[in-house]
Amino acid sequence: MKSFHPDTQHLVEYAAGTLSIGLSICVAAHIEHCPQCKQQVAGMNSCGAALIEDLEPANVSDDLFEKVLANLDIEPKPTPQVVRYSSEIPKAISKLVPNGFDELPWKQYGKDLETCRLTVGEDKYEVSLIRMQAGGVLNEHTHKGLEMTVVLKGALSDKYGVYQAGDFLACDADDHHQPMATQDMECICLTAVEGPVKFKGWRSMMNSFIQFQPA
Amino acid sequence: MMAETCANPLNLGASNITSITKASNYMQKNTAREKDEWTILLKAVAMDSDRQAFGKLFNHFAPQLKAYGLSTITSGVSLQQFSDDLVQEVMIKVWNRAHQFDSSKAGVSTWIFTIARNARIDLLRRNNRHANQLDADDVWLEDENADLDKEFEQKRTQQLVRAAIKELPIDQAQVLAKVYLEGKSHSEVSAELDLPLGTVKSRVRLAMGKLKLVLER
Repeated sequence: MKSFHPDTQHLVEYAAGTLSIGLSICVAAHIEHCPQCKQQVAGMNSCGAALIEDLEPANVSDDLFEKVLANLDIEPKPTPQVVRYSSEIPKAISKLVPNGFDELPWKQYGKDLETCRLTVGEDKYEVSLIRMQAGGVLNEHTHKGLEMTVVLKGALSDKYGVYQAGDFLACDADDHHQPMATQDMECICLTAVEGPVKFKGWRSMMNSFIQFQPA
Repeated sequence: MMAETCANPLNLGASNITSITKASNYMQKNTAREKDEWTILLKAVAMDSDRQAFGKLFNHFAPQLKAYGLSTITSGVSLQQFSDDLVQEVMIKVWNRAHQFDSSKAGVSTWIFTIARNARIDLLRRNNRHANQLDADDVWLEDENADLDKEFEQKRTQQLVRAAIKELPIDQAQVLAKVYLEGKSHSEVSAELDLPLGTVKSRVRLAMGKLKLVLER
């Protein structure tokens, strides 16, 4: 199944903080582009606040307040903002791409495709950037579980439609698909995928692309 | 909040309808006033580094945050310690970020929820074996598109959600509590309650629909 937005389940899990960090990065990258989903998440956050307010307040020991006071700076000290190299890089991964896409250690697969694995700190989902030359095809592939993709630059198309920057695709394990970059420019996408990824057909040597390694 | 815990309309008989109306009017007014009070206190922290105002915020929110910590499912750590750490981290961030609070984006309690959610994610991840280059604050972003016209709407959303959540059927409320408070994914909830994943998803979707949090597309 394809979509341009995350479904309600993933938005709620993101708001509740139970969605894995790899998938959350994709949802966050989409929300940056999508005022509608952002608004929904804001509402879902207020649901979290209301649930906490309904809990029986727990007893807090007196010395906890003293401890907190002792740890306060004299004046509030804001956390420094992470500087983004360009607005094409989602805020969620701006720390991991400090010098822009071109400076990443891309691995080349064939003439059309490069990938770069991002270390986000989780077991289940593998997060990567994928860069396709204009008109380049990502071989038909399957994966064990869910795959989320967000277009960051250029556009991607498959049998279901054309996806522009910010658009969100979610595919299940049994969904065989073969997205390609549109002809006019290169396409860079962010993906989180439950490994391992398997490619079909004679180019199955492509299996080596995205080796599943928890990072 | 105080005014809301003092009256539970469900326990009242039909003869008390007038008093329910009165109570709910009082509740609404009182809730609005309290919300403004938290905003004012937060501003005093931001503008004047006012420790007394901070103390009032602590007295109100720390017991809620502790309860949030205690509802977390953790493994291998003392839940009391975990919850105290959570309260500490969140309240220090409230102090440091008070000036970033923008009442046009969210109510105070929603803003504090997002800080608490992120702090809990970081505390839970701190114990895993991975090198964490990313903090929760990098990924779970504070809304940045301030729009002053939305202030009324944000307050309204928060009040509506707060009221509507009490009216949810128990099976929907239970699933929401497991996701938000215990920190479980839909799949984990489905396994624990021995329900098909589709049922868990549809309960959450129905609940979100009743809270008017899902947009028709």
